[in-house]
Amino acid sequence: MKSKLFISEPLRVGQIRKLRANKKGGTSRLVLIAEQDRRDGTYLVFLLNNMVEAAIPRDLCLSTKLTSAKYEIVLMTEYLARAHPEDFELESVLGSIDEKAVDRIRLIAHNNPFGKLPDVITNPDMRIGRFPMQKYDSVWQFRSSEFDNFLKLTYFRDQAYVISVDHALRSLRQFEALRAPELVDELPLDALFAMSRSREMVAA
Amino acid sequence: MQDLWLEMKTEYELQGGLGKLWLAEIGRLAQQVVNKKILERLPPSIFGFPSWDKDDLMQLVITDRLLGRNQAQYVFDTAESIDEARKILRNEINFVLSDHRVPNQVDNVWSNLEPRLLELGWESGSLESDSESELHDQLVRLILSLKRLRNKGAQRLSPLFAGPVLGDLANQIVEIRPDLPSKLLIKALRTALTIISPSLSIEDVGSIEDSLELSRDSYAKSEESVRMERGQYGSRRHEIARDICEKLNPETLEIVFQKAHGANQSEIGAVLGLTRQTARYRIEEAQQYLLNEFKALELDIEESREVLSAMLDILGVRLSEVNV
Repeated sequence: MKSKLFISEPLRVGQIRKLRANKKGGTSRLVLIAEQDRRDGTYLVFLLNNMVEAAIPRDLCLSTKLTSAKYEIVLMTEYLARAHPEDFELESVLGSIDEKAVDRIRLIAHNNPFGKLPDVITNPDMRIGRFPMQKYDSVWQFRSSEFDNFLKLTYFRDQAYVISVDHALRSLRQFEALRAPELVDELPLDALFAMSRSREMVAA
Repeated sequence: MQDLWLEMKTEYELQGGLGKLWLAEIGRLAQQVVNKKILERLPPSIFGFPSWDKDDLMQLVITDRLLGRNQAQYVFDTAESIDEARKILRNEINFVLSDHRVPNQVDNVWSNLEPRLLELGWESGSLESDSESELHDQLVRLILSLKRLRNKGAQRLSPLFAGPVLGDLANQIVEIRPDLPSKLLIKALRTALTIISPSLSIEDVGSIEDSLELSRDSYAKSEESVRMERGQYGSRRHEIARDICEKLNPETLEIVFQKAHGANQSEIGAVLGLTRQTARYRIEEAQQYLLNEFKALELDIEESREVLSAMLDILGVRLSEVNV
């Protein structure tokens, strides 16, 4: 057993940590720290899970070699939100990723907000998920419940934008042409789900 | 009594892995799953077991998942209470069962697909080896893009595709080549369904009833859904469709959803856990209810069609796949 007296490693970008349930409720989850805001000490985090079989093409399956964690991890690129530092479990760092790699993942996911993540992102230790999610299937439901839970664990400053789908939302607001119904099929399902929650657009 | 999860964590740390407490807990969960399967009268052979024995299942869970993929460590790192740990462990058990079920699912789909292919004049032939892998990938993509029947992970062998969807698949296969070898088709099915299958077992999403409620809520509450669909159906039609959807109970919504995919009475029965006969009554009731609603609103045929289309869109049926 660990001693009650321990020196915790400070929170840093690239670390995989446990985010604990807070007063809003929720269940603890693993997250990857993507950015630290030095102004208020909060952190942007990606949600992680262990469901490699249920990783969709917007997710990245990270090998143990890359993360130095003890198991393979799925990074859900669509689930990025802000967490308070006091909600992290400080006792242990469960793995870490190079800061540059984290930036690259963010940039590519942000620049490609629709459909499958591009192959350029991959290397042998970072695979794009393959599960073909369909609306209301078990993976959709799983992700919906993960989304709800993640909202409880995190917060967002600007209520107008919901987690990482803000890019998709802004695009839809700015470019009227993107409201074309046929484009809805191309939108990431998580983005649509988030949009439906944000009362911005269709839940199709 | 000390907190069980705390004791399990202590044991895990002291022993550097699974100890007696963990084995007992996994055993209990495996026994629950086995009991459920026995109650459902599922033959153990479906999952490759000679008999329903919790020890066999437990061994696979430990070797394949908890040790093989180090998921025990994940449970240890993530769970905050025994309930959370049990949830993840239950998922691990279901993943093991799904992994071992795959060949049966392929057999099921193939036995339903083959007669449709034969009807269209397909005959198993041979191929030049250089085109095989390309065709295989094409077929896998085709199978993965098919609309699946809902599976909430509660029914291990519920049908995966509605009859008409398989009919379309047969047509597309014959269009690609009318003499594709059966070996290649089965191989493509296996590849595609291996991806789909394990994910069907995710149980963290609640029971079937909960999920139906969730689906119902997710669109019933989505005021924003109006905006996009307004353009397509006109705002009044869409509002009517939403009102009707809000009035329907989850079971009726499921029936409408499944009917839109061309599911037959048996398939709808399987999804709802009803006999074919009961499913037939429920389908008739649902149809009658909708007709009455349309009648009460004094909608003509064209308007009724549009309202129904809007309802199906709200329910998540893509219009291109509707087969009513």
